[in-house]
Amino acid sequence: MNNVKDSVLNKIKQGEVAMRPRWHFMLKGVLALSGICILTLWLIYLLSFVVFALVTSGVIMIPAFGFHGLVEFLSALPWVLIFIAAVFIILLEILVNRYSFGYRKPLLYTLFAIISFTIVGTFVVSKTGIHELAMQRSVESRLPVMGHFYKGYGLPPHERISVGEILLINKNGFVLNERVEGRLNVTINDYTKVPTGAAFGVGDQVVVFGLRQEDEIEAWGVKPFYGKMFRPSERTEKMRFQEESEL
Amino acid sequence: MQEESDETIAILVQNDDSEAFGFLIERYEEKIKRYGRKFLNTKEDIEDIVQEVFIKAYTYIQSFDANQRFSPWIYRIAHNEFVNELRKKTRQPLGFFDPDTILPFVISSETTDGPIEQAELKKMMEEFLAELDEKYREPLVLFFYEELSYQDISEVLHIPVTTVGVRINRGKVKLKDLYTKKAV
Repeated sequence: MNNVKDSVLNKIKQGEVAMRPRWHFMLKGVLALSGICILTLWLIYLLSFVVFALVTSGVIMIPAFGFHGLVEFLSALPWVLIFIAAVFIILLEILVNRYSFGYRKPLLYTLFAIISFTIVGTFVVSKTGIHELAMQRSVESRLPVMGHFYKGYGLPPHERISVGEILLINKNGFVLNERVEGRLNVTINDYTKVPTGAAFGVGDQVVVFGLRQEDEIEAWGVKPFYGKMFRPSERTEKMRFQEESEL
Repeated sequence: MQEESDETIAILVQNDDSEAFGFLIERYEEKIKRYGRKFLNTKEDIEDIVQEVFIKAYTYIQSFDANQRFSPWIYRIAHNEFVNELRKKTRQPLGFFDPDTILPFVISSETTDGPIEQAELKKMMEEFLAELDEKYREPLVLFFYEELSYQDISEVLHIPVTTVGVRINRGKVKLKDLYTKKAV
């Protein structure tokens, strides 16, 4: 007599063991695939936003100013978002490894595939201009939920990174119309690094690297700004003014 | 029914022929028990777990894709059950990412061993298998005793095919080391 066979078949006959329906597994599969899709879309959104925020804030241009620039760049990176993106990548890796196309390949390959796909996705999303649109609405205070998120990362209050337009060239340097802070006097000296050469003119958009003290900046570096210049709307400036007055 | 493939019988079970499931149990009971003996020593434990394996197989049979082979699928269930039991007994932590699964490896074809060397290896396995790490033990058992291909072992253990090759090769080297040490 076969104990295991009889025992299992008896349990099946008596209804103690029931077969799970096919839809149960299909639903699980659909949910897992949806999870992969949603996670991938969020990851692409997040990374494209990180790139957008780095360009818009001017942080991406800072490493060109040497060691100090690199240190500032590292401290100004949106580490929370990068950490969340890393968690998403790990979760995706785990989900992908549930499927044979995932676990059959070495982890390095699947990780490379995920990262490559995300980079391509990030590039495509960057080209759509979705973040520029959201940022524009954000500075105009017309983006209800994500407004602070966009403004917080796109126009962060860096005291060593200033972005604006040259209003006037003078003997010490130039006057900068900083997009948030307003007029600032920028001093250029022999130690100021200008990686692209010193030919700046009125109306040029620049990133100035240097400690801002009230309205003065002694520039450690100046570089053309290639991102889109977002300025807080008059309403935002008025609110800022009110806040400052109250303080 | 005796001549039907496992996959054909599995389709019958999926179509509510629970008697057909008996044939699958007959075909795999001894194999799964032998596989389990490489993990656990107690006969009662193995009996209970083998029964649990078939109960799980019946419960999840609708998730089996009949275009794939049945044996890696049922060994996968058995692997999970035995590993869970082993972890309960030895309180081993869950392994997450094994370095062997991260990097790609170049491996030789499935085996270049001749029948004499294979027989010797089986003899060494009988003697020293328990002294090997679980990660080497399992692919060796599945390959030499259960005669599964690297591809099938990859399906059972959910690890890359190249990792299967690496573990089998390293396992063989470790077995030979143990054998040499004993001989000395």
